[in-house]
Amino acid sequence: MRKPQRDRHAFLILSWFLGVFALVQVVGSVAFDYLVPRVRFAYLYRQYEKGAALEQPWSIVFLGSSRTGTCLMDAQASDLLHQRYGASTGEVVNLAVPLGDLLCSDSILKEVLAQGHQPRIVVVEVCPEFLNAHNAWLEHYLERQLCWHELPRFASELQENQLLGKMAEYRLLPLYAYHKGFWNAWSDEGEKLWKRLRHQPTAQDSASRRREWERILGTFEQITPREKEEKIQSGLKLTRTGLRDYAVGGQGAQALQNIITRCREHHCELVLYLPPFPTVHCELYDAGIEQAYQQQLLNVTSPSVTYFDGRHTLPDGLFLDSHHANAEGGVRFTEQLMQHVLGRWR
Amino acid sequence: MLFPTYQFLGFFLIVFTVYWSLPWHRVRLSWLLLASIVFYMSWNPWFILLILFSATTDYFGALGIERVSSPRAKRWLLVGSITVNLGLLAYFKYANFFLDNARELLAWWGWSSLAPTLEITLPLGISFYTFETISYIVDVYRGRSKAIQNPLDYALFILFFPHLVAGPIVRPYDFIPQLARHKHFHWTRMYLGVRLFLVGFIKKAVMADHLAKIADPVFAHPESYGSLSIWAGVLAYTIQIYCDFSGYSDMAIGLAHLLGFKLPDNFRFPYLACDMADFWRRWHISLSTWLRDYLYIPLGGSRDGTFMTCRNLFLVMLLGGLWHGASWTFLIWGMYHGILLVLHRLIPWPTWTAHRLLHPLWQLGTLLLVAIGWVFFRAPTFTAACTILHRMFLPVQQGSLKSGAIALSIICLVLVLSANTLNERGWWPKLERKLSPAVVGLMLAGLLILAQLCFPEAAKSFIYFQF
Repeated sequence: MRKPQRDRHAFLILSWFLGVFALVQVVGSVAFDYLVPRVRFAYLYRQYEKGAALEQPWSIVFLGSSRTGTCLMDAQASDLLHQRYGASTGEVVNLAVPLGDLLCSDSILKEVLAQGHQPRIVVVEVCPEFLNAHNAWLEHYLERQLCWHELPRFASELQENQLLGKMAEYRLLPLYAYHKGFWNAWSDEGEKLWKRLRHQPTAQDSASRRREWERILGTFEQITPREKEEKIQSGLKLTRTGLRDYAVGGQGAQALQNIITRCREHHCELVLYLPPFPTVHCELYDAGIEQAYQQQLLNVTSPSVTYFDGRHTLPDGLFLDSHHANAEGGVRFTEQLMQHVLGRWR
Repeated sequence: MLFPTYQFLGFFLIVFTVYWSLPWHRVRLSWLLLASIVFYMSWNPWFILLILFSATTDYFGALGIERVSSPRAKRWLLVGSITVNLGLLAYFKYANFFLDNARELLAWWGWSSLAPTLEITLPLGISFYTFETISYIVDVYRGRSKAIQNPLDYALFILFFPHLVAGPIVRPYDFIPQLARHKHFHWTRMYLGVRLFLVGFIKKAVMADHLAKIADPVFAHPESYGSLSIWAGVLAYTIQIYCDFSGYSDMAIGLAHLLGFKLPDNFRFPYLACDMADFWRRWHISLSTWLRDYLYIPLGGSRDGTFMTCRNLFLVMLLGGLWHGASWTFLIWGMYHGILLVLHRLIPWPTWTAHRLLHPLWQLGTLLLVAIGWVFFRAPTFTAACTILHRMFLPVQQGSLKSGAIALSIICLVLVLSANTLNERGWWPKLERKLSPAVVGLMLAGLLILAQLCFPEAAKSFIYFQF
């Protein structure tokens, strides 16, 4: 081959290489957004599956972060519901996810309703940091749930939070960004098939779900006082970041409005609740924050949207760290919140 | 700034674009030098001063050697320059090794020593650039190369970022003439560079970093594993170190091609070697040829009879082992290879042993010997190495790696050996000529996508960065 020919040959190879690579990235990105979202958010889809394995329809759904995961026990809540209104009143499903904020809860609620579930009551975790215009959880939403069609709406906030680089990675190199999720999805499918073949149930009991949360948050079984203090400090740091330059607004406040609208459209009662917190955490909410937060809640609450303030419901000794209830705290708080929730049962 | 990171990708895209946009050759070289300095300073900004000091010494040393006429003065300049370079290497790399051993020796004699352990950070790539500067000054002294007049050219020879931190060890007569030639952008060369980089990237990200997860626990706690797992761990490391280092070299050579430079080959399918001498002609070629040219031959090479040849071989391998790191395990690894090379030389191999049909047998035997050597190279202590060797050859039933890990080690070994065999027979160029550009492009894209999907959770540093 002569030199110009060789050069042309090499040029064509490189063009095909880059073209095919780019095309696969774009196709992958669209597929992960709309066809196989499990790759991006495996944890959530595992929760859907566990919920789907329940025998009765979903009548109460809990949405929120790991705080909701640790302070609300769905099996216990189901028992309380059945005791009060009978065994055929459906199930309580906890769809809390790690690092879930209001944007995340809104997106999950949308999906739950789209799947055809018709819960009577939706319980959503809310707290001052979730309503801050500066959204400290935006990065996680960007990673796990933000789709192509939402990009224009989020563009300015992504820029403000210096997330354009991350956004480019997730959007333009999805096979790298989600490679772990890609293999997890395959592994989940294999596991599901295996369980189906062996007729094993997918649903989890409360104890194993509790263990799962503690595993996600870092083991607390043999934690030293120093390690616990470190966890408390890192939790407080996270909350302080969430409360930075506090002003109610942005995508978090918009997501709360969306949740209210969705619940109204589907005739669901909405219970907003502030999780239990130890004193060190409550002290982070200064007067200014508290006032702005309460004002926002006043604006959104109505006969079908109620609010339960759970922050002082547990003593400080019943927490794993600065914002997660321990097992006993979870049992106690579930009982207290369910009294309020079941009062809304129609 | 590791090669397989976004940070480096961004850095390289800027360097590449600006480099080829500049119309003037000298400005391009200055741009490359600036980029190389930034690249090195991204690790530790202060150590750039050390390289510049070392390079300046040799630059002026070489100019002096060329200008003075007295052989004695030339020799003094050479010795002075080498002393500075080796002195720096000795201080940064070996000071604590000697101090620790001296302390232990004194304690053994019942004397307590106050010699402290020094807080020394090893400058990245010091072993590599020291050898490059030494080869330059020696070549100028021998008259093999002319002293470089332009300090920028000399600085770029030492600092050129693709080979700066872990080789290949570049010789002045290979690299300096390339600096004089004006570079033209060729798609053929770009393709070659991209392909080499991609192959290196796959070796590192897909193979080496995953195999590290098998090898690391076995070498860290050999006492917890049974014989099968130990073998799997040793095999995993054997493939890991090859993929890691040859992957780095491929990436470095590929990057250099993208900038219009050619770096020497560093690996030629070493695990297909039929004997230990053959192995060293294929493994870390730039180091083994450096040791041959600047140590073995000056020591007398094979000119002074069998005993002196064997002594020279042994000494060279011993020092080669020490070059890798300041530890007894590296020294033993060097001795081990020295003994094997001496034995290979001393044994009168009958001619029938060279029969082609026996090649696979010799290849397997050589691979086994090399793998045993890696035990000393990788083990954190001599005791750990002994535990591993003991369990390799005397079966022990104990804790085991997951069966998947053992299978992965074997699969990777088979993959590497198969790929090397095919490549050695020139399979790829033949196939490439027959395929259309679209198919080749698709295959390359497939490789990159595979690398994306198999990328390790935490990218590990290159093994040879520590040397």
